[in-house]
Amino acid sequence: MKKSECFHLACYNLKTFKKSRKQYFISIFMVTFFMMLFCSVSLIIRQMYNNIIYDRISTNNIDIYLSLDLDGKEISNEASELLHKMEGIENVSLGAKYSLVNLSETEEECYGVNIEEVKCLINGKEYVGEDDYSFDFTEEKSISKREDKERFSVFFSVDAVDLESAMFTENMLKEYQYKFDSNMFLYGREIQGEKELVISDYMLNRFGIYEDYDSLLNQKISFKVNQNMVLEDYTIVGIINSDYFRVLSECDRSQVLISGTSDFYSEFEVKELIQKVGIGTFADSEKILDSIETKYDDYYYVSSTIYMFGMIDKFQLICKRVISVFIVIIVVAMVIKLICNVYINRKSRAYYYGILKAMGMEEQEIIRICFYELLMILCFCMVLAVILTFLVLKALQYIIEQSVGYFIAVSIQELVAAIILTGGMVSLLMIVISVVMNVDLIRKSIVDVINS
Amino acid sequence: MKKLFNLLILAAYEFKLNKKLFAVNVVICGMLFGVMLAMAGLACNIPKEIQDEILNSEFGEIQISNIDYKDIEYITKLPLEIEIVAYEMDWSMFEESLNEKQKEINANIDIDTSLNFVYYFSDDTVEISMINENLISGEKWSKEDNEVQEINPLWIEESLAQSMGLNVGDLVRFSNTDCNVDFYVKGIYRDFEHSLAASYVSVKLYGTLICEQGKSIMIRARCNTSPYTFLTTIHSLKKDYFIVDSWGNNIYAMFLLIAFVGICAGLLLLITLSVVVDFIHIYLNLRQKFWAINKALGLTDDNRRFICSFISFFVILLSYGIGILLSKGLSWYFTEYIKTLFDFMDLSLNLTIGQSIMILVCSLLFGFVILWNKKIDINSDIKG
Repeated sequence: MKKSECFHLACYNLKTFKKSRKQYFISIFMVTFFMMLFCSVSLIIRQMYNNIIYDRISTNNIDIYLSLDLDGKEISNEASELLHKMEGIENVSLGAKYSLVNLSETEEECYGVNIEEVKCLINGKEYVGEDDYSFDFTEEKSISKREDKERFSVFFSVDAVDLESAMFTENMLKEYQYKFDSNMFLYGREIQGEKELVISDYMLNRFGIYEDYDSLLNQKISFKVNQNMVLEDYTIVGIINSDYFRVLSECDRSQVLISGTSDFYSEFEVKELIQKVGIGTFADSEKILDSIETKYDDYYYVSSTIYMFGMIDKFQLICKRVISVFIVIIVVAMVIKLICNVYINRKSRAYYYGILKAMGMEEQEIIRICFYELLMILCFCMVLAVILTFLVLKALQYIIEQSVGYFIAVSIQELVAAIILTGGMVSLLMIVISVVMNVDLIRKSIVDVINS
Repeated sequence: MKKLFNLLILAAYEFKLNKKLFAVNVVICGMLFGVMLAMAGLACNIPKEIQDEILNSEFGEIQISNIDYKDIEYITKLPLEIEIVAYEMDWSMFEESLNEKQKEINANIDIDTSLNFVYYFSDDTVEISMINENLISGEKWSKEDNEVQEINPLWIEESLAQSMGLNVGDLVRFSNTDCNVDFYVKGIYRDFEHSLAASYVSVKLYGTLICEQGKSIMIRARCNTSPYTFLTTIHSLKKDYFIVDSWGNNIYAMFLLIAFVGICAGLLLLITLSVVVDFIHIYLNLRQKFWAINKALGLTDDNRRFICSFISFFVILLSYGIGILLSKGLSWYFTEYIKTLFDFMDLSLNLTIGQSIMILVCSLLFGFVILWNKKIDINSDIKG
């Protein structure tokens, strides 16, 4: 018998044995649906937790202020040393604010110089800073009232990045990737050597440079504040996407970053360095803070979000524990359910297999017919389960949105992942169980098959 | 009645005869019930255990731009304990109305202890009761003081009042380019923790001052009802205002966990019942001939359903008992884990007797409905 004939016979069987197949079909559908629903809900919940946490993950840092001596060398700090011995530390970013305030002619500026007072020189060409009240990195755009000059004027300030540490912590990059997924982060490279500079595209725009960033790389750049040269002959090594400064912990950071060395700190009388210690999870941060003795309180600063989000991290950990227990139990339950159903199906189909065998059909052909039948049932169940899961998730989404006002994003990606995962698992289980149980039956003699 | 008794005897006989099959069924369903009950315990007890943790913390900041009088009225009616904190409003705003002595004091006070106008809605907040308790002279704060008056009441801290030369009943006018506000000193209080140099004014006056200054205010909400109320209130506020609700996120995260565990428990209940039904089906398949003969002897489909239902009731009851025992172990595992995670001293995730009975009744009802509606056609099986 050809494969196509086997397939036709399988189709015919499904059509004619509707009644006895109904129970079998419903059971497989239930298994598929339950597994699919569980997988999609788990994936969505995980996504929701990540959405909450990654929205503020950059604040999961412990900031330590390290004093510098007159030579620009760090004075050893017990809190920093203690912190570096702890578990959960991911990486460290070290830097300093280079104060330009004393060069300002106006009095009211508190943390930087108004950009109108700054001139930028690239390859001898002078660009004058233009203020436009557009600065919205520290304030939400929607609530901004633009007439407040003190809040929305563009300020120019410079941060030094220590050459011996990372320029950005992992958490900062995670938040950036979460918030601005498709945007390129850094054009060029990070600061690696002395006299190098990275500037944001926003800051370049404020000096009237809007395009051809490519030609700016490796060019010499200098800045003057009210005719005083503040930075001279720095090499532009990277242009950073200004969206990076919308990352919560970085919104106050200067958008001009230069290389920081002991000589630089000493020459520009930098008093202290800020060490941002990035920690893996908020729950880890809480543990670390609990274990640091209170006598070091004055040495470090942490965002209050660490405690808030520490709790969310803990909820996520409980969720993971529940999922791990549930996965074991649901797989066991589903295997039992499938075995029960294949057993019932085998009993009701034994007579039919016996007749096929008596008519001279080979074992392989009977197995092939069984396999095609199973495959068709599985496909049909999968389609129905996908539709029903989608509907259930939509209903859940609606209920949660209406009752507590939070939107649950049912992403197609998550649903597809759940379908593939569940589909693969159920199909594999079903095929293995059916083959093992039915082959054993079909291989018996005709009389034994009919009797069983 | 006699027929019912006979059917029960027959069901018991069938149960005994197929005890191996039903024992397997009981063990499997007991295991499933155990996990389900542990999860139900987790979903039911997490809110009440962790709620205290959240309630003891301040959560939810509502940032409102250009607030007006109606907003203040609306917010006062919310089912939350709310306090408004002024970050941007201090006495320096009224610099031009201050005398030299007052300016001098103002200049000497650092930002952290600036002369804030602080304002509270209700008399049961800690600060208000502390003012009333620490009152040296003048009158206590009362609810009527929340109304805007021609001359507004003001409570001022003792050392500040002395340095400014103010006594109870003295009139003070604060004015700047936006507004003039007249106060009379209604009370002088002894300094208490966290209230350095703060002056307490009525909420509506505060709202008015803020409106005229065109500033934002921060409102902190403390949940004194339930996390659910907080979430729904935040939801209704979000429609009109910009809310910084980081602690709201915590409650939402807890809500997600409860919803997830609840869904898992619900799924397990359905799976358990479907496994019971599957085993009944296997039993009927094994006893096809017996039931076919009984049918020929006059036993109706309803009688067969009754017997199957009785057996499944018995299976559910037995497995539920095993499940309760197993759930104790799993609950202990979850309890220890959560205790370590949250540093709880005491925590119990076990279901109460009432909750356990309710789940059992639900299971039995579900089981009955599923079995009663299930058409198990013995004749077609025999034909097949």
